Amino acid sequence: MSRVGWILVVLVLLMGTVSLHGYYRLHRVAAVPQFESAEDHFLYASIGTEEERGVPYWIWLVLPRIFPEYLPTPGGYASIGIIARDGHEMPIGLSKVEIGVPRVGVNCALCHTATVRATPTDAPMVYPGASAHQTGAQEYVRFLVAAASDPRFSADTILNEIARNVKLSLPDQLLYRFVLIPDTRRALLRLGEKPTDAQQTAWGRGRADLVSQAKFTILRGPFDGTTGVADAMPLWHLKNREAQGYLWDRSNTSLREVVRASAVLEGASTRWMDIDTVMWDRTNPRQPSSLRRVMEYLNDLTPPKYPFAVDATLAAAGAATYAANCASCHDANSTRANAPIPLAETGTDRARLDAWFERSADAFNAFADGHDWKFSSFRKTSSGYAVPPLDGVWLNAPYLHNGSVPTLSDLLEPPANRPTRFWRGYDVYDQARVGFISDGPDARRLGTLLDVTQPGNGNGGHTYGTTLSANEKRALIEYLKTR
Amino acid sequence: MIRRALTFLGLAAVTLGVLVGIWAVVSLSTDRPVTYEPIEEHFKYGSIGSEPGGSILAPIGGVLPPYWVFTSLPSICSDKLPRGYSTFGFITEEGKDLPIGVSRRRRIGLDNVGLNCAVCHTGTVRETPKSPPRIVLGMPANRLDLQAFVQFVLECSLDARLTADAIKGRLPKKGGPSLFERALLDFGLIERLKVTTLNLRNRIGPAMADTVPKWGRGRVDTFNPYKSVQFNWDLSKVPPSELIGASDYPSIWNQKPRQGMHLHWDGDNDSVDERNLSAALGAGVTPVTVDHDNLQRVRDWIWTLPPPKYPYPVDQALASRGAPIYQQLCANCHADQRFRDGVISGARVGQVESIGTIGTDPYRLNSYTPAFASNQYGLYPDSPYRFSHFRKTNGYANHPLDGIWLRAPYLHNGSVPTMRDLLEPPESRPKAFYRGYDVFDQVKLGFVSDVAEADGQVFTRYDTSVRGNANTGHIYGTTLSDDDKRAIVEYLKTF
Repeated sequence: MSRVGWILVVLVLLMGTVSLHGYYRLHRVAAVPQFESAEDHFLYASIGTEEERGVPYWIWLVLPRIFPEYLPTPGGYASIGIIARDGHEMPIGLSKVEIGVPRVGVNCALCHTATVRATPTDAPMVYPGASAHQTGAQEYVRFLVAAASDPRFSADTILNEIARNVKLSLPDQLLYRFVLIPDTRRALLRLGEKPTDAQQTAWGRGRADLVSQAKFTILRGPFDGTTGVADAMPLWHLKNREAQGYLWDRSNTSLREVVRASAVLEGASTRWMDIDTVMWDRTNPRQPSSLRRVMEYLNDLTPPKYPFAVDATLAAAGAATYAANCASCHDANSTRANAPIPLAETGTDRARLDAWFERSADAFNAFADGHDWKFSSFRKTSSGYAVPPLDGVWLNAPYLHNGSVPTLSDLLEPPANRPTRFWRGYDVYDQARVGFISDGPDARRLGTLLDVTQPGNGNGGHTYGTTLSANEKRALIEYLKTR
Repeated sequence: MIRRALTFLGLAAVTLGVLVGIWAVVSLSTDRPVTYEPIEEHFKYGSIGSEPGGSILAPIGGVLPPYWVFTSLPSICSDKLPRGYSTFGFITEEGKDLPIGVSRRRRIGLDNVGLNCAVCHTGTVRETPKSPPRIVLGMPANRLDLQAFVQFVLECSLDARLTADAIKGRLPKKGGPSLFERALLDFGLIERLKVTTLNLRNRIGPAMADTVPKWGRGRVDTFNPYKSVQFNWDLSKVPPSELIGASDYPSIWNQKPRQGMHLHWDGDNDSVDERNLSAALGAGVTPVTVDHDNLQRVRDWIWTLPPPKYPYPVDQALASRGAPIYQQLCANCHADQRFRDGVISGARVGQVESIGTIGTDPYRLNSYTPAFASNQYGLYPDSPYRFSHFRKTNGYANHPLDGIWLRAPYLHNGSVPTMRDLLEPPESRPKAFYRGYDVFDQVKLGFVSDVAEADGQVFTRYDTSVRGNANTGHIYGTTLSDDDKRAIVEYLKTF
């Protein structure tokens, strides 16, 4: 062979090696780690969000150490309620899988697992499936976007910080420097491009505006001036809620669709959804459908018992008050349980209901046309909000669909007497008022402000029980602890 | 002819360039600790990897400046340090160039120094002010004022008098730094050092500020510097209730029977190995610069290192009268004298007592938060060493009492000078005393604590009314008769 020929061969081999390495580090999907228990699967498993909206693990790990000023308090991701427990590497609600390199995505548990502490110095108790009142899902994204917008989001800074944690191979260092860091930056900046963010009410801890996510982020529709912010819902007894419909506005009665739609809203990629749908009906224990496993776990999840002391005598006295004032709507077997209570009757904030339109439902139903997981059951409802059963109600604080009332005691006050400014996210429990401590130096320092005058935050309506006597209220609240 | 000469010159230049390159690469990539064959020497002077590493352009880990700078600081800033490093309670041995607890290692082109386990876990004890100090390996560093030492190193490193010339003027004629290191001195090493030092000083500054009570001799705040050094938390935003955490150094002998117990004062970890790696972070290692092999040598040694026996006379009759009282009142939580042989007697040994029950000072407990634990799980990532055993607790752990005579002052924050004082109700315990003197008080079991100054050493005045210093709680045995208390104290000498 000629000299040129040899050079060509060497070049081709070299390029081949480089592209093979590139392929392996950018696209190869490694076997997804399987979790033995369904609870761990719910807390840590992938729901397919790493590919398009994930962040390479090493970048994710060091960002809070480079940009602590974009987090509310010292504490890394834990400062926005994203905490790891029992020695698990990843915090609850964040998944880590290898797509070329290890990448971090979010899953259902991010918004649906609560922490509770009895005193400020206790270790938190963790309740999977409960409304994640302490988590700032929007703050998490905003942190990543703020970091990406900072000129220090550079290969030098990030690789220097990574080098304090792990020794990356030279090819990996080059890949991070020239591909992964710039790509991640670009992707995060794009996440921050949403024009609606600044014009809408901030989510704060424990809330999300899924309606806007669907309309503006997924469907890329034009901003329509609405706000659909609402509490993350507790996910127990889901089996029993089919008739009434899922989501606060009951806009879908198919749990399977709601689980899948939630994954899409969290950022699951289309490719991943296709694969997970194929797996749905296969019973391959080595690679089951992740979403089906989540759904089945939630189907059987029961609400946790109140972990503190209950005055049994007082509670017994409250049972009658409950039966007379609350049961007709809130008891699973009651007459009105599965019918929506008209908004005109409850009088709670309309914004969430009004943010979802007929055309939104149609567009979302058409979103996955051509895929096996296509949606068909989304609808527009106009009467009123879902009436959740009150099982585990102690853990659903703050109350009402928009979480505008901090405690049960406040909810039993006429709207004019309810707090107009309080702080969400502090996880120390207020056993006297039943809810989380929502004011005071620690709640203010660690939580986010909810101002009821902001669009979607209204704390009016649901005046049931507000005219009871003080003793009746005390008894009713004690009884509700037993639910 | 000229062409030939040019070619020759060119070749010579290229060869020289290549040689200089090789020299630089070899110098920069050498990672060679000074090694010690005997394990005791390794413990005292060996490197666990806490010297700065990574690359010369962006060094990682370490808290101390390079060897030639470190050894020059006391003379450069002699006004701040009249008696050398021993001012801070460092122990120096005849014929050694560095004090116990300071290791030497060639890394990133420099002779670097680092801290090792012995710095916080080696102390001295004396029978009388006249007797020579006995160095005890593995006991709490009862004399060391680590905070004052770190502050001195930071301040002197930033002092205008520290210049390359000041270092060069102090180098020995023989056995000085390598040519490469001299070259680095000429090309900005000191300026770089000042930048790294400023960065470190700013990070840990709020935990070292005058608003936070000083650690004093024999104590360290384990987790607050850690929050800033490892995770870059802005300590100025950490609430005061979490920013105070000074507590005593523990002894580190006899680790084997401790495996699985709740270790650290608040019992936040039940793995000896993980606890060791965490302590190593405090000494300045990083997950990439740690020397696992050298650390393992120390770990294997302290695994079975016996607690030193009480060397002074024991009244056996009195001690055996104290044994049953101890069994009744103390053994369930603290095990008994047989723990030195690995016998764990007592159901609550190594368990955590809630803060409400134990009633001792809460600051150290509250300096460790769930958010901090959450961040720790990302340490030593992607390795078999990744942290997974840390847990937030809500109390303090019951520790076995082997070698307890050398572990004074008592309680986690060292707020009670002697064992006899601990058996008094809190209001009768000393309100203020001195820490850092190594003369032993055989009557009360502990170190002499009413001497403010001796042998040129100024001791720490410990004020129990300061935040974090409370001497409350642990009231067990405080209602016994004076005779019974004396008997328990005598019995504890046999531990």
